[in-house]
Amino acid sequence: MFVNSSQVLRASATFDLRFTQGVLDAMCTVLGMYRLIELMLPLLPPAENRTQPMYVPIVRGLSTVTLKPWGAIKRIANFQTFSIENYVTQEGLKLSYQVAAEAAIGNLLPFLVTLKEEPEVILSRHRTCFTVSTTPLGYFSRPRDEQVRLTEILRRRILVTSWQS
Amino acid sequence: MHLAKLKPVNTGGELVDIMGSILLSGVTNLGSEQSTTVTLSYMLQSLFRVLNKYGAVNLPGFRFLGNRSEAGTSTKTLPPLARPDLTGIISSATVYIAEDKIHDKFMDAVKDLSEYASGGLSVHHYGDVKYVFGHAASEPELQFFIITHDGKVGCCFELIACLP
Repeated sequence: MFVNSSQVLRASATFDLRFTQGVLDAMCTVLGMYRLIELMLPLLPPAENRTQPMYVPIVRGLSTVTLKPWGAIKRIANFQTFSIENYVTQEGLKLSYQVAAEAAIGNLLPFLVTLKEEPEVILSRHRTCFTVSTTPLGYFSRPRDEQVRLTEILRRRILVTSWQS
Repeated sequence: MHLAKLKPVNTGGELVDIMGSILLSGVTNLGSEQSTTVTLSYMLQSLFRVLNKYGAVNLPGFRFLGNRSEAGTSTKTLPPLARPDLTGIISSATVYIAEDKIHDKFMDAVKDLSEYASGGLSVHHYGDVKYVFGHAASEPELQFFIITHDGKVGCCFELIACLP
């Protein structure tokens, strides 16, 4: 019995925290979850193969990287200072991602991180915020068939063309 | 196997104190999103700490992390919906994801939780783990969910009922 936002009514009853019974039932569920987490621990891959837990930001100087299930979000909150310290420009960063995407199209370097969508640049009075959503590091999904492969190549070409224009 | 490990332990009244404080006053401070997160994280952390200290089953190193960037700070280091309100982490893996909302916005909390779960659980991070846990809460409702490896959100009662 799975639910999404539109099917939430199919889920089990919720706990009403206004009443002691609801709180007690919630606490009993937490006890069950605690035991299930202990059971799932041996199934996790070795810790040295995992870099960082999901949703926990990694702060690297002026930039922040957050791993998500589908990849990562990288944000530079103050791009002016970042560009002075690291000698990069927005165009330079976009170009490097573009080169990575072109390499992935040609299957030369399929394991490079590429963009999932165009970079987001937010201009405010004092600073410029630069955000990119990327594919997971080291991830390469092998296409199921030729049609899927061609569709993916076409999607990446459109993305690259839109940046060039 | 786990039942065989069970034996009476003397908690020196600590368990009674914590459960009593949660039952009597721990959940009356709901309303805003932040107070809901703080209250529920107190409940979860207290229970996990007592179980870890006195229980037959131990989860060494388990910790809950709150999302400080949504707690009224102006740093804006992360875009919206980049991070859940509460995450439970053990052994460098996120095994608990929680989303809280203000009064009567329970559906929004479930929607955001579904959004976080939409990418599923990568094999790289989770290996053979088929699901992780989470909750969605909005005063006065609280519901626990599982997030499956393919990114679906479901209720977790069947799993807990299967425990010995």
